[in-house]
Amino acid sequence: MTRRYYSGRQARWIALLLVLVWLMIAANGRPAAAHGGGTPQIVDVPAGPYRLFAWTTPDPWRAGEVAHITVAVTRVDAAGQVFPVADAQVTIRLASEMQPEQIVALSAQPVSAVATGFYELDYKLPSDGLWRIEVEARGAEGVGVVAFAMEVEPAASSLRWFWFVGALAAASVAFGLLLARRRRSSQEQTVARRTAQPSLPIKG
Amino acid sequence: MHPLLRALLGPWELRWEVLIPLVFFGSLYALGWVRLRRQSRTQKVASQWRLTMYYLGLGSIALALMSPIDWLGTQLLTMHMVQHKILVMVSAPLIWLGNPYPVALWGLPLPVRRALTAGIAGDTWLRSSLKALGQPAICWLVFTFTYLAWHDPFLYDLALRVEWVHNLEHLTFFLTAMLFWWPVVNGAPRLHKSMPYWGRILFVLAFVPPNAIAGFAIANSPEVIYTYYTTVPRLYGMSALEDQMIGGAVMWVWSSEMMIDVAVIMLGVMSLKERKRKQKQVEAAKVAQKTLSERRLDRVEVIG
Repeated sequence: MTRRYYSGRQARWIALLLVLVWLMIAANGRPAAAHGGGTPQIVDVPAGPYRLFAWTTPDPWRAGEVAHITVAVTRVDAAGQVFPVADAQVTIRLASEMQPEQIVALSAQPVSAVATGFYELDYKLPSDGLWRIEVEARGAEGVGVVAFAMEVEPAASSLRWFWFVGALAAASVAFGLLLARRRRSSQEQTVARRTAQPSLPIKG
Repeated sequence: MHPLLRALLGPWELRWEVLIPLVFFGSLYALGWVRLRRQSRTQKVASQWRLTMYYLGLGSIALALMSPIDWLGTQLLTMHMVQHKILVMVSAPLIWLGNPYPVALWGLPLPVRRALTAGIAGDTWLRSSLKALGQPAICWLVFTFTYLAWHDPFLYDLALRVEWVHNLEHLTFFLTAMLFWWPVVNGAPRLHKSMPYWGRILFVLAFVPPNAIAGFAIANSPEVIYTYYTTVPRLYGMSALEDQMIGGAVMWVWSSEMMIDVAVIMLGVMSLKERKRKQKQVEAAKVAQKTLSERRLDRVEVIG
C-alpha cells in the first residue's frame, strides 16, 4: 500500500512538472513561422534613412507555391553603429512582368520579438515569369524604397511525387527481397552444415 | 544592456517539430520511470539522478532549438556554434546518462515493448544493424565525419539558406552525437563488450585534434569563410570576421575542453574503481589470513 502511495505521488509530481514546463514555454513562446535563413536578394542597400536587407525562400520560386520574403530594416548612426528598426511599416509590392498593371501590395509582419527589425510575408504566386518586388519601409525617420527582380519558374509537375513514391516503394521491395534471400541462404547453410557434420562421431 | 544579452533573454519560440518529440519522449520516460519505481525504489535503472540527467538533456535540446539561441544562430556564427555545442556536447551525453532505453521501454504498452525487445534481443536485422553501427570505431568515424562535413563552407551556408537543410544538420548532429557518446557512457542496449576506461579516454581524446584543427582554422582565417553571415545586418556590435574568430574559438576550445574534462572524469572513475578493487583484494587477503591462522590455532589445540 505504502509503495503504491509513493509511486502515485511521484507520478503526480512528474506530471505536474511536465505541465508546468509546458505552460512556461506556452506562456512565453509563440509559434514560429520560420527561423531565419533564405537566399539573400538585397544586402545592406541604402533606402532613404534606412538600410534594407531581403531574403527569399524557397529557391527557386515556382508558380502556385507560397513564396516567403523576409526583410530587415536597419539604420546606422553617425558612429557607424547598426540598429534594428522595430516600429517600421513594411509594405511589399509584387508585380508580374506579364501584367504590370496588376500590383499586389501586402503588409509584412514582424518575425518575432527576438528578431527585432525583421519583417516577413507569405504570398502564393499565381503565375510564372519575371516579377518585380518592391520593398517600402516607413518609419519615424522617413521612407525608404528598394526593389529587386525574381524569376518565377512554372509550376512543378505532380509527377515528381509519383516518381518519388514509386522509387521509395521499389527500394522497400528490394530491401525486403534482399533480407528474405539472406535469411533463406543462412538457413540453407545451417542445414548443409548439419548434414555434412554428424553430431556424433561414428566409431568402427 | 548589451543587445546580444537582451536578445538572449527574449521569448522562446514554439517549434512543433521540436516540441512534439520532446513531449513524447519526456512522457514515455516519465511513465517508464514511475512503473519501474513502483517495482523497486532502490533499483539503479530508474534512479532520481538518472531522471534529472534525462530531463536536463531534453531541456538542453529545447534551449538549443527553441530559445533565442536558434534565431541568433542565423545572425551570428558564434551563437550557431554555441547551439551546435549544446546539441552535441551537452544534450547527447546527458540523455545517455538518463539510461533512456530500458526506462522508456517500460513506458511503452506491453505489445510494443515485447515487439521492440524481440527486435533487439533476437537474431534480427535490427540487432545486427545496431551492432554493426554501435562498434566504437564506427561511432567515432560517423560522428567525426558528420561533424566536420557540416562545417564545409558550402554545406554550412546551404543550411543557413534552406530551412529543411538546417533542420537536417541539427538532426544529424544530434543523432551522430548520440552514436559517439554511446560507447563512452556505455548506455543500454549494450550490444558490445564494454570499452575499458582507458579505451574510452583514448576515444574522446582522439576527437580533440580534428576538432581543434577545424576550430583553429576557422578562428584564424583572414577572410569570412561562411559568407552567409556577410549578408545579415551586424546588429550585435561585431563584424562578420570578429564573429567568425569567436565562433571558431568556441568550436576549438569548448569541444576540446569538454573532451579533456570527460577524459579526466574517466580517469577519476578508473582510479576509484582500481582503489576499490585493491581494497577488496586486501580485505579478502585479510580474511584468508585470519581463517588460515584460526585453522592453525585449532590444529595446535588439537595436538596440545
